[in-house]
Amino acid sequence: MTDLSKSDNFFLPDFSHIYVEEGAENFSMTADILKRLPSAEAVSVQDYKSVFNRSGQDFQAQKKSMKLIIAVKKDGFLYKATDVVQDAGYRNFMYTTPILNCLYNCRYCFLQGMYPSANLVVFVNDLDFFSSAAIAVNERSVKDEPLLLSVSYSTDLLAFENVVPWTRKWMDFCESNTDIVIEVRTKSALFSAIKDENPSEQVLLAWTLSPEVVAEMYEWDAPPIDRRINAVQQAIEKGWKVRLCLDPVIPVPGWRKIYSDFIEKIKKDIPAEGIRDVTVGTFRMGKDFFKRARKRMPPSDVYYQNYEERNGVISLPESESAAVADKIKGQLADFISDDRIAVWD
Amino acid sequence: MEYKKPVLIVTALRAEANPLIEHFGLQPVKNSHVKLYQKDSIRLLIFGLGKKKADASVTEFLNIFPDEYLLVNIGIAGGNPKVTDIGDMYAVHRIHDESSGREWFPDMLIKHELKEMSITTVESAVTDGAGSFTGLVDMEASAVFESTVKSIPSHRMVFLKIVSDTMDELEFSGINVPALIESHLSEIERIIRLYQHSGIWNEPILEGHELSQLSDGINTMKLTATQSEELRRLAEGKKLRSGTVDKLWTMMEHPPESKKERNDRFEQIRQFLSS
Repeated sequence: MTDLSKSDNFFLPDFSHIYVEEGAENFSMTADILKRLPSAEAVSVQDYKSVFNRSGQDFQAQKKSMKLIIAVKKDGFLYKATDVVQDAGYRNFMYTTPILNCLYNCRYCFLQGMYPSANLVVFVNDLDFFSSAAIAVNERSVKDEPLLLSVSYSTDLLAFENVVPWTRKWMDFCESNTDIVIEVRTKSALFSAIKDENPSEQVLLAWTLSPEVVAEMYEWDAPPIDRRINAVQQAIEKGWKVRLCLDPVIPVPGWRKIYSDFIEKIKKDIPAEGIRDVTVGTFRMGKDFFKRARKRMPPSDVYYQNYEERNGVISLPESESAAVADKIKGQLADFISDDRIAVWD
Repeated sequence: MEYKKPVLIVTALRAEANPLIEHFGLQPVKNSHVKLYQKDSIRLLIFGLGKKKADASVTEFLNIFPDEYLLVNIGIAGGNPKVTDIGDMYAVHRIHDESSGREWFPDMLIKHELKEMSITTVESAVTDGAGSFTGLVDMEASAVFESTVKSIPSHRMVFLKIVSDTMDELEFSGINVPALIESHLSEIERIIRLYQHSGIWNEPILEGHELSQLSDGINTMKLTATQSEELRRLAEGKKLRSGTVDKLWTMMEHPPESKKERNDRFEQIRQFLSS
């Protein structure tokens, strides 16, 4: 099958074009982005949705040359978390979407079925996001617990930090709002972009890690696993306590040995005292996203397994999910206490 | 061997089409309701001046001759003299329809190496200067986009516009349209070949002969619509995992003698394809 990658020189580089929504040009973040990508062709658009939500787009084709859309978000700055997102024990749990879509194209990712476009939207009205977050903190239902806000839900925020410093902005916001914890989930190796920030209990740096063979099959354009582990090591050396996400665990043929070897590698390479907690989960996706993603024909077997549908979510049969979780938890038992392992179920 | 991805060139004017017809050696297609020319994988449609004709003609064509086209709209356009030069060819990255206010965007995925520009599609020719038009102006691009986007994804659309005037011509008959197109024929051919080779067409997981065998097997086995859909999906998964589904065909060679036998054998097939 033909599946030309970005390295084939037919394709323009990512962000060869930047679509700027009318009104967005007045924000300082817009000027910064345009300065960081000086050779991009800037195209003015009336409404970002006319680019992002238009019909006739091909997600997988666009992934070969992603464009950037700079826009002003009008409403809906924070959302209550869905069942497929891990709350890891937090009862006040929301997510926000300062960027739509991701630099990477992981084969199991729900973004393939969520948005009509593979292009990235960056919202530049940061103060509106922070106002909404402050209101959500004040209105959280469980007052004696902080609000957990996933800031990297619909993207990999840290991976994009050199273009748009949204992670750093959220970190700064946390300094003046003590009742919020943000989770920055990433596959990026770009810890260097925030290395001068002081470690904070309010910032959960969370790295998704997968065995090399799984990463090569399903996370093919994300940084290799050794570079991710290296970023984790750098963060821990700087005093951060990080979250490790073994999520999704993909039960590829021979998965027990593959994940067993991988967890031993983690134990060897990452000091336990630098780990805040571990989350474990198997593949799951909302039914509608799953159908749409499969229709877009990603060349991956992940959409062709024997899944079950439970409450509108496509996932492995419960017994298989449980077996995976038991195996992973069992192997982590001598590394991290059970109460610091959260399993999606 | 020539790469055979289908190309649909659309032009408003015969004067725009003639140099292309000659260059690509296209022949008229008889008995078609539209002005159509063809050779090998390239078809050319002349739709006439203005949005209504573009919409009607392109829509009718795509109904009669649906295919996985690369759409190439080639034509002349007015250009704002501050940012364009007469005779230059531009790739369009934004189409704005003046009367509806709507805008459309062909995906710019391929390294075409042309200058780019926005275009505004208007109802009648602009003859009183560029005024508020900051880029190009034509009379059909928005209609071509709108009428084709239901059939052709926006990453397989290319709009190539050659500046013929600076929007202050009262009389267009003095413009040598064929000469403007002729001066860019080699560039137009390069762009078309580039797209044809670029890999922007989705390759199906199951190849043509496999889909054909699958269809035969479904008929032989008298599978229900639900079973057929599941079979196709499972076969795609098997192909992705193991690279082949050849063993499937022998499992579907003989017709079942009862519904029970059909369902039992379908279950065996399902287990095989899931392994």
